[in-house]
Amino acid sequence: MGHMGHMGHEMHTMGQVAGLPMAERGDDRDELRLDQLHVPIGPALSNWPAGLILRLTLQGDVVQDVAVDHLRVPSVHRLPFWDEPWLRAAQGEKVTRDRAARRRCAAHLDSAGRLLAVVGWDDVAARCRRLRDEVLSGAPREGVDGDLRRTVRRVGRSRPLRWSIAGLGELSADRARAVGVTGPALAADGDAYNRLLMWMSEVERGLDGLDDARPLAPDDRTGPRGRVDGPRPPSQALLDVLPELLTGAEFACARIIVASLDPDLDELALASVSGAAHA
Amino acid sequence: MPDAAPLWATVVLPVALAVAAVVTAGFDALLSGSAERGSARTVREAGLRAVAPLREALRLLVQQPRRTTAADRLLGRLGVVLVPLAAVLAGAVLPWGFRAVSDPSVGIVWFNAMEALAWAAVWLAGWGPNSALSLIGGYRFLAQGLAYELPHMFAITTAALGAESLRVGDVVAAQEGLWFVVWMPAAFVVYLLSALAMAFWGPFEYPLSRDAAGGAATELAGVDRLVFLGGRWLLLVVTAGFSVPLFLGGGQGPLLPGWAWTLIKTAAVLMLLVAGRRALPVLRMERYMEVAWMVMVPLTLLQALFVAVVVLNR
Repeated sequence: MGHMGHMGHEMHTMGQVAGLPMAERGDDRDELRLDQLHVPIGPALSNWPAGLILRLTLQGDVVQDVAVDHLRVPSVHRLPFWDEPWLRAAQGEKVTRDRAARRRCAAHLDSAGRLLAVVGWDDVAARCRRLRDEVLSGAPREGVDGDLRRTVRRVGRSRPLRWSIAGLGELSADRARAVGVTGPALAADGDAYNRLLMWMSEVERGLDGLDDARPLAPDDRTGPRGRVDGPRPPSQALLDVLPELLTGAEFACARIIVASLDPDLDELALASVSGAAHA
Repeated sequence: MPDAAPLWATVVLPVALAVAAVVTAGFDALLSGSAERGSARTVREAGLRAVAPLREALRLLVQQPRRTTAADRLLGRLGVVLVPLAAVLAGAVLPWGFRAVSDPSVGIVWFNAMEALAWAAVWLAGWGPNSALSLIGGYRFLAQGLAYELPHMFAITTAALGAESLRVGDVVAAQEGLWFVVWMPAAFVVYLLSALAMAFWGPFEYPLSRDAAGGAATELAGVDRLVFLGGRWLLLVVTAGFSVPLFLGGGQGPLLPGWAWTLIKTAAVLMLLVAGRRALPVLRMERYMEVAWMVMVPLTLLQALFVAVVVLNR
């Protein structure tokens, strides 16, 4: 009851309810004055790029504005996990192709698992995560081949999935190139569904490289999310492209769009690392 | 005409529904386990996976409830409690074999009214915690309701039309010889889809979906969460179970007694739903709405028309 009394008291102060600011109004895209609701998503959610914070301004269910923010990336002396083989190769270490192929396969399975979980297809998401772990733990190719191809086929064949996410987060190759996106998101040249299929096809292609013991080609510096030797880490470009994809989207699409790009915030520490590598 | 069930059935009903819900959740957990960790190698391992929902229930029992600022605790709690309550009340007209706890002359309307309580329940549970994400989840259920309720009601009406009665017992009796599913397949399929939607489970988990961090259930913890999510399983069992008297001939079948047939058919429908769920992502309502209104409403209307013509010419 003491709590209720406190609440009643707070009601009197202007623009505040229970110590929380009231919604303010602002023009929406149809030039109506609607309440603006400020909803932050992140930094910690399941199936969310760890550390990413999106500060959404919602009017109704439309994302009117978005500020992309993230937790401080710890400057530990460790290479970003998913880019490690390519970075080590850039530093002059000997890295075999199968190691890079495994890392790429696992990274894409990880991303696809996250997107599928956000879309609510738990079964295939769980399979992707299990395959990711198997690929990373060095399972022989024959062990994962059948399972992997089956999963890739299931994703590609699902009409409900396509119907559910096609058209979300449209990013043309031209626009992607202009922002500096280099990885599968550039190659996909399309929406969230195209990006998912691009991951899956790279996973399938990567299968052939799982037993390749030759050293990584000197010009292969493209990690799972893009070129690691560029001026900026690949995930930075993915973050930069987020506001334009999210603004005007419905709230229901926001997390699908984020998951379909799947930026890896660990990579943001890369700028200093690759700088060190070049030096 | 079915007889009225003895009084003790009233006490047994919630227990039986709860057992059915636990078994269904266990089956679902078993399938999830094999997707996550590969198929179980020993019976013991499979058993451990199947009791995962019970373990989770125990964990929730001892978990601290979560409080949010300026929450509407009365309405929020009401919403949470309404879910299992609606399920059990709807279950009252569910015949076991040929006996239901109650078989009123408007049993089908009663069933539908109790299901509609779920609308209030999910919305209130979403409203209660004063959290944006749970409110979004609550509203999603209203959108979902708009999509599934009309086709759902037409599907139920079709069965009542075929029996020329709103009494569940009469609907079962009318299927002696020929089950309704044979000449009302469209209504049956639509009913199953809307049963999932009503229980906001599986492909219709949208109000609780992960892209809103758990939607209406985001802020629920401890016992609240257990009652809400457990109630959802009850609702799934009841809505799936009601397809048996409506379309699958109720307790009718050779050799075995009526209650056994009810059990077998209900289990089969639940297995179909739980296994079928694995093939689908969560359906986003903004897209599903189109299918519901452009395809399913006309389809169920045509089905009702067909049944009406058959009934008139009998």
